[in-house]
Amino acid sequence: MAAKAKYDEAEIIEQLHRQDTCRAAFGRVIEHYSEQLYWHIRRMVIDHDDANDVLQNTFIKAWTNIDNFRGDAKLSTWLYKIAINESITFINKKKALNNISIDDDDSFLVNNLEADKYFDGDEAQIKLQKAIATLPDKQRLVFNMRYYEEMKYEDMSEILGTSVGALKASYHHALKKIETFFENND
Amino acid sequence: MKKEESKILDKLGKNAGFKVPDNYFNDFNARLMESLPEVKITEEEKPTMWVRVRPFVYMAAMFAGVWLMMNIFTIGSKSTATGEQRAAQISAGVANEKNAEELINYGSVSDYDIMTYEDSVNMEMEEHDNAGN
Repeated sequence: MAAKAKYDEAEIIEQLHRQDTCRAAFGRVIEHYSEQLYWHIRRMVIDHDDANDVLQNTFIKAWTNIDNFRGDAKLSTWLYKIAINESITFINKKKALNNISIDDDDSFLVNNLEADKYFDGDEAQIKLQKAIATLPDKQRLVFNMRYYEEMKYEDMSEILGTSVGALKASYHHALKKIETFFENND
Repeated sequence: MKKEESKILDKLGKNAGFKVPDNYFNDFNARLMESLPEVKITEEEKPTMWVRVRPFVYMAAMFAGVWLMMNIFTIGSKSTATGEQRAAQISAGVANEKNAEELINYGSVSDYDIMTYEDSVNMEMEEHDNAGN
């Protein structure tokens, strides 16, 4: 098996802006980011098949808009922004299909988690997912990015367009709500 | 980060319990690459030499224009100054101590000039004496 070429983002961005090299360069981008974006989307939409669809839409949207990406921001920031938009759009569409108000929380996403063949968590992990699903979308994003992905607040700030201070406060509130959920559902 | 987290989360750990089908990411990447539509990339053109030097040329032309205008106005003001204006300029210059000293020095005769004058007088007198003899 041939060794994978080193991923050099500056070089990839340059290749993305040339007609003859852009497709191959985008293949490298998919290879590099698909897994981390999948897990980010999966924690938002919960179901594997839904995560697969949203991930595919994310990359297709990135590809069709590649000409607009000038390299001012990091490629990862740009892809995360698209993934977040696609995830939230997907959840809102799913809410509409299930006659759920857009203002309600995302608890409905976790209802069938026990039956999901691509979930092997225990009772406590299901409870945690239910607690996270009660958070508002932005707080849920902040919690997942900080707790599971261990992302720096500075990077989160670039992606979400929110100050570091506000993100820290949001994470702190999310922790408190999760603790309260566990206390009330013992 | 540790101090931010709760006892509940410490017990649960970071495994959410989600999993994916075998070889999912490799299959996904291959499938996605096949389904990507054609896109048209607008390639950035490399700037020509003229485009690169143009700002400097414009700036040089601007400075040259300013310099030329200043010269034209200076010449114009010299030629249009009246006798009274000139007198005022001279008196203002004389009022300045430095300028006054320069004027005095300009009017004085140097040692060399004096010597040359005395020598020429002496020479004339000698010639006159010689002619008398």
